[in-house]
Amino acid sequence: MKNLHFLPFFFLLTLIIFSCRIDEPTEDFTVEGLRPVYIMEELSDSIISLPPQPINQLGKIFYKDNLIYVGERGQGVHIIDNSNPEDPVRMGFIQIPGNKDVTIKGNLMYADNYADLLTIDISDMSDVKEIHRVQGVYPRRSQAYPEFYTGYFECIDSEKGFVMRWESATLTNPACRR
Amino acid sequence: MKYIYQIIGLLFIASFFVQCSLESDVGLPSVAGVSGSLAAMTIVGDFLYVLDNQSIKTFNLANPAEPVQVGNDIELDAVIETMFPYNGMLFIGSQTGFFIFDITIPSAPQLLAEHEHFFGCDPVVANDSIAFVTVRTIEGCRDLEEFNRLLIVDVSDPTQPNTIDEFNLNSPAGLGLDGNHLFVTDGDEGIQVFDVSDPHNATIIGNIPVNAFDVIPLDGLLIAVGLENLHQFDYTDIGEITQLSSLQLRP
Repeated sequence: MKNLHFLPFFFLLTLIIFSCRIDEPTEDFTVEGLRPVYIMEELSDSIISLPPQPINQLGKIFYKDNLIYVGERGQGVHIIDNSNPEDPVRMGFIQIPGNKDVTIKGNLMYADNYADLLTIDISDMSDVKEIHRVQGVYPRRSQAYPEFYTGYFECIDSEKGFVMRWESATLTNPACRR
Repeated sequence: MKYIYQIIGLLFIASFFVQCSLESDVGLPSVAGVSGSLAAMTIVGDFLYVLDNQSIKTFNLANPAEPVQVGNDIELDAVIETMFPYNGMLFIGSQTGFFIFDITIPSAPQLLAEHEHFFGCDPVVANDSIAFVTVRTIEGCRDLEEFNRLLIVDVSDPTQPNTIDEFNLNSPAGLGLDGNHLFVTDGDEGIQVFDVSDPHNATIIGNIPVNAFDVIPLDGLLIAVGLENLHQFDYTDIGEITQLSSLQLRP
């Protein structure tokens, strides 16, 4: 008798497998959207100064002392010398994986780095240093969806690592949208 | 895996009459700097406030290098996205409305009001304090009415915010205020320039034809960020806004 308990489960499993098979030949739905670009966990906390970097998707802005800080979504912050607004000059880039927000007080930048809140010494912009880290400030930080975006995107697979950024792609049967 | 069904993305609660606070920052070495309107992190005095999806966290910066969290997380029943400090208050933008917190005790923000987007307007009272809010419909909710608007909200009594005017826009996102002039990014429609000297009769007085999603107005200098470009404009003569530069950041 006991063995019979497996029967419904077995049926269900069969059904699922079968239904997948059936689904496949039906017409695929393709659409332009975003897909996540992952970064390995061990690289996720390397905060360094870099020369000016290409942009993929600009994010939030912050202005202080003739410098414009423009976020590069999920990767860090572009630094632009705006002493002459008619000729802004790209000075460099602060790499902060998983970053969305920064704010600055004095020579200290506060920044999110995935789940952590960092203090970064920016007194030498060409050689910034992480000086403090509060872990787990953003436990629920949306690794779930691309911010300020409307449309389809590839759902996140957290097995693949952290989402560093999002890139445009042609998606097939995307299950996520916002 | 998380499916996200959103109806409204309130991108921002804007600036109010921030003229005074801006003046001290503009053109001078400033202590704190100026955020765009989409910020989810802000410093007021010796305290740092950060948003994490559905909660507000407060950090003491008495030792600036080492922020220390004070108090408990303030949990809100909404996905919160933006934060704007003004006059002893924090205005928190969520996807369904906005919240006003009193931070006169900086270590312990107190909820003053929650303002939902879909409601009838209360009678208007005389105001000297106005909030500007953009609300944008997120694609994928075809059943619902489009709701892409700029809301002008009287917050002179921060416990009872009143919507006093609304403007239908295309795809409003970030915004910035300098005195009587409000700049609202509106997707493909460019940046709408409003005269809000009388908040009850705000009017569009200009348009800057660039696609941007956030702005910082700095006493005559408008910094506008789009997905690929950083544009700057001179608006010292509001009737004749001129482009200063456009930094194409894509290689």
